[in-house]
Amino acid sequence: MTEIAVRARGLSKAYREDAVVTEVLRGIDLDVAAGDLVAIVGPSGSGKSTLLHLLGALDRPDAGEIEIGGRDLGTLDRNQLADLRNATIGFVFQFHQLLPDWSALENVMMPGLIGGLGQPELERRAAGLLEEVGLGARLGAFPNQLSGGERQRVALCRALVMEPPILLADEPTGNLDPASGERVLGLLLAMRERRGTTTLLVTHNPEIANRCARVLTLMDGRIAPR
Amino acid sequence: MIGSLAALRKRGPFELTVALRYFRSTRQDALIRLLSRITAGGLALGVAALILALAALSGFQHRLLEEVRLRTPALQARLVGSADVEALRSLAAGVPGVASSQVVVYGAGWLHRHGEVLAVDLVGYEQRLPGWLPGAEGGAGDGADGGAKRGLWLAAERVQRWQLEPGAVVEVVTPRVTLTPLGPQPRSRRLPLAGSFDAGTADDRHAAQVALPLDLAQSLVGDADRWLDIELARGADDVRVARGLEAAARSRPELGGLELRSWRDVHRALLFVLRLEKSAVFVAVVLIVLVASFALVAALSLILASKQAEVGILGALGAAPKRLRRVFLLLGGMLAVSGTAGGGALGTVVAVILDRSRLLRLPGDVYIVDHVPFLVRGFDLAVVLASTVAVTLLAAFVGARRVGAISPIEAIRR
Repeated sequence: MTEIAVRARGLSKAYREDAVVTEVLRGIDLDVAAGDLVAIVGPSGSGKSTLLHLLGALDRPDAGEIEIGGRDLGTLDRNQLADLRNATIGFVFQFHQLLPDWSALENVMMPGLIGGLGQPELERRAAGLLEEVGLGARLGAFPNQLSGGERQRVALCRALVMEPPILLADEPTGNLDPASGERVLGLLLAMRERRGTTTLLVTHNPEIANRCARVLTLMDGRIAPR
Repeated sequence: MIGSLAALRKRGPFELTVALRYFRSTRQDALIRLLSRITAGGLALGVAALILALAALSGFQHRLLEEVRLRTPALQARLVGSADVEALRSLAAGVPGVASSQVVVYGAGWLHRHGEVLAVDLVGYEQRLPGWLPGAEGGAGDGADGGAKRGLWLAAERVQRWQLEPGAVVEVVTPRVTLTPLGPQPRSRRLPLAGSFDAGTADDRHAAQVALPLDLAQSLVGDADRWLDIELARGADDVRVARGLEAAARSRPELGGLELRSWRDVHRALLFVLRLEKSAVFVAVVLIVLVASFALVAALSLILASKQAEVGILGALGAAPKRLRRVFLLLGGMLAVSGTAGGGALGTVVAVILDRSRLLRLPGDVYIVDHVPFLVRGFDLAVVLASTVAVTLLAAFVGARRVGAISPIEAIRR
């Protein structure tokens, strides 16, 4: 039987501003098998990023249930959710979200530092990942000393340093020029392939979506039928 | 890069590492650097002010108490009418810390000289001018050997004001009456000046004392107020000696108990006022530290506001709210400890320099000292540092509480 890494049932989420309520997700049901590579596509405002944030335990749904690796997120408090994010989920955001006052190596080491990994092991892993994405010579560089593509590669390494079973990427190439975007995407796909990481990737780009094994299309807060 | 790696290796857990980075903030973020320095600097100034104020107060109090102790009997035992003086004297001699003892009597009276009358406290001494009437000048201290040395000892200031020479005669009058054919009359004696003593400037009562040999004093004031004056050995503690005397007296019930009074009893009100004064100054200056602590809350809030996105990223990477709170509590603690330690060092160094250099001068004829004395006491320093760190840590806790409310996704979106 196929192991389910991510399960969602009846997910709903609305944003309220003053009296205006915007329903973003309306009853999403979703199963992602372990090791799957899933693209989430859809027009702007269709709820792609919101869905990713809910699945990544960064936000809570208004209704519905999410299970990550068999754990019901609704039963966990904020501290437990943080521990789960650290150990189970790797994030790559559209804008790298690197810590500006920390070097590339330190940024990659940060999840391990939070997770309490031993310093030599953590440093070995982080340096190895940066080497793998071609930044072995830039370990001590700060984010403002790196190009956009380099920053996103550092962010990818940071997402993988804890060797999480699940990787969530929110338009990881959306802010890059085509060449840099292609390089980052290639690395992301290759690295998740080598590690067998379950991956959900939000993208606008149909070409990127077509390189994924499964494509989910969000329309008006619902998964559109194929 | 190597330096960075080495530094990373040395770091402790996540909370300490991040707090230290924010604390140093030597890179890029000028606002945080400024805020940290203002906060720590404000605390340092508050603590330094507190230490200096307490050191000046301690310095004055120390000098005042020295002065008072020098001119007040250290320990005396009351002699009631039937008291066995020799037994008590031998009892006292056996207690460690007692150097010697002699009988003294007290009584009120007046000095009369060329129509000027002055109310005085007469002190009759048995063997020699008591040590608490220091700086004897003129005749000899021994009033028991008769002759010209048997006379009055006055405060040097009075001798100078009345322009008295040794041997000059002064009339002493007391309210103790004698029955005469003309009815009850106050007692009076015309006595020569034996010498003078230094009464100091700390207490006007010292200048009002007039000493004279015991038999002369008894003839003028009787012996209703009679005491065994116990002179302590150098360095002896009056409290310990008093306990020793009381313990010794308990083993001699036939002596009928012991009523002791020490310089602390004589100056109980003064000592209370000094303690009260110190407490009041402490409370007043602690307000400065409290204001600085509010600055710490404000600084932490501003640092948090400027680091909100980073806190959100750390949260997204798995830093739990309680751990992020700890980061800011540690940061507040570092600001508090650095400010407190800096202020403690600054206050102590300035106090020592001001005391040794005698930079702050005072009119010596008005005050008991000619400069502002500073005395940093270890206990005061410990109380100041501990209370400041406690107050500022509380402030840091208040400031750090907001961190837990930050939603990672909201912070990242901003």
